[in-house]
Amino acid sequence: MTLFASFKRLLPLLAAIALLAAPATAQQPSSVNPTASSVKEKQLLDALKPGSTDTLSGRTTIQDPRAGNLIQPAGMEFRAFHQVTLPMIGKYAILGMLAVLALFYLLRGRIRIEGGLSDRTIVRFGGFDRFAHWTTATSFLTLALSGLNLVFGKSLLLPVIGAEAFASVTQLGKFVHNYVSFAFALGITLMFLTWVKDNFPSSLDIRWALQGGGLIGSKHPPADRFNGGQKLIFWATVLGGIALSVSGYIMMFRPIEVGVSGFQLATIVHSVTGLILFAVIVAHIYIGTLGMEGAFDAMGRGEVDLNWAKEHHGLWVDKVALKRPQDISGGRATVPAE
Amino acid sequence: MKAFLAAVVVVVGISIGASILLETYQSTADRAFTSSGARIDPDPRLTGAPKG
Repeated sequence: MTLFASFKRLLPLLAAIALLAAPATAQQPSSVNPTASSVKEKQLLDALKPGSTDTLSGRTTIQDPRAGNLIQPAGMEFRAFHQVTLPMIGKYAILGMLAVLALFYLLRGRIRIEGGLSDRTIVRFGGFDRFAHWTTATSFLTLALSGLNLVFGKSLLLPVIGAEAFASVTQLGKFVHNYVSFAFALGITLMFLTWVKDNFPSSLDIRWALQGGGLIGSKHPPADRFNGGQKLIFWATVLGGIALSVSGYIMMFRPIEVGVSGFQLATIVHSVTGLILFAVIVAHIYIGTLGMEGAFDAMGRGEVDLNWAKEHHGLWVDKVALKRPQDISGGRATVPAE
Repeated sequence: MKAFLAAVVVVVGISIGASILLETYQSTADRAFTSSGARIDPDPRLTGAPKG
């Protein structure tokens, strides 16, 4: 028997099998059975794909509703941000600022009072101004140190002091961070209310910026009570402080209400704002101490040398001389700042 | 210097006050996120057993 003849004999049998199989094919549902285990697995795998914003959640008798979250794939991105991106932002912001300041110091040196110290002073900041400043400054530095420990402590401090000491320091730092935050919020509020009237942008700020704050050209740009750079610091501190306070209090008081994604967003806003503001404040500290002769007196004693004031805030000195001449004193024994 | 010292005193004072206030607001995770029936040391009102 040839192969073709065998096939001819089998043909009716094959046809019968095809007929029997046809109804089964026709019965295949056009829609997917949602309860099929394979469908559930597909949903699970889809939800686990990177970039998925879904959260696989269920119910639990544990009172914390977050405990019902089986997995949040976006959390992997958040973990990568927290462990890689955030420290990188911090390194670039802080080390970058230190490098810029070091370069500035090498090129420009300490900014001196061109006219030299006079024997006259002018009241720059009253007691309340300085209180508001130091309340913000001391609380911010405490918050910054305890916050930086959360970003860099594991890689910098842990190898030095050991696991147990690091755990204690970090836990204490976390408590201190929470408690001191209220003083920081108060300081920001006081600073805003005290100085906002002198920190609105003006055309003088454009001139100040065009002259690079006095670096370009031979003359200091004219400035009122605060120059363009000081206004930048003021608004960075106030707006940054508001962002830090709002995001911080969301994490402290409303972690459940905002959900996992909201909490992660608050963490990102808080940490990035904190690192950038810290870098800005490093520059502020530099120019207020090492970088400029006579500048620290403004927040130290509240009075500055009259020549310093005329060089940096000439318009403001003219106003004070007209309105409050008693704020300008003479005959002080000249004490060099260095 | 007086303004600086006053600021430090106020910051410390506010922080101590905040720690006392938050003590009444916050609770440890084992109490905040468990029902009393799940605790090793449950509320005696539920068990009827005298505490201690």
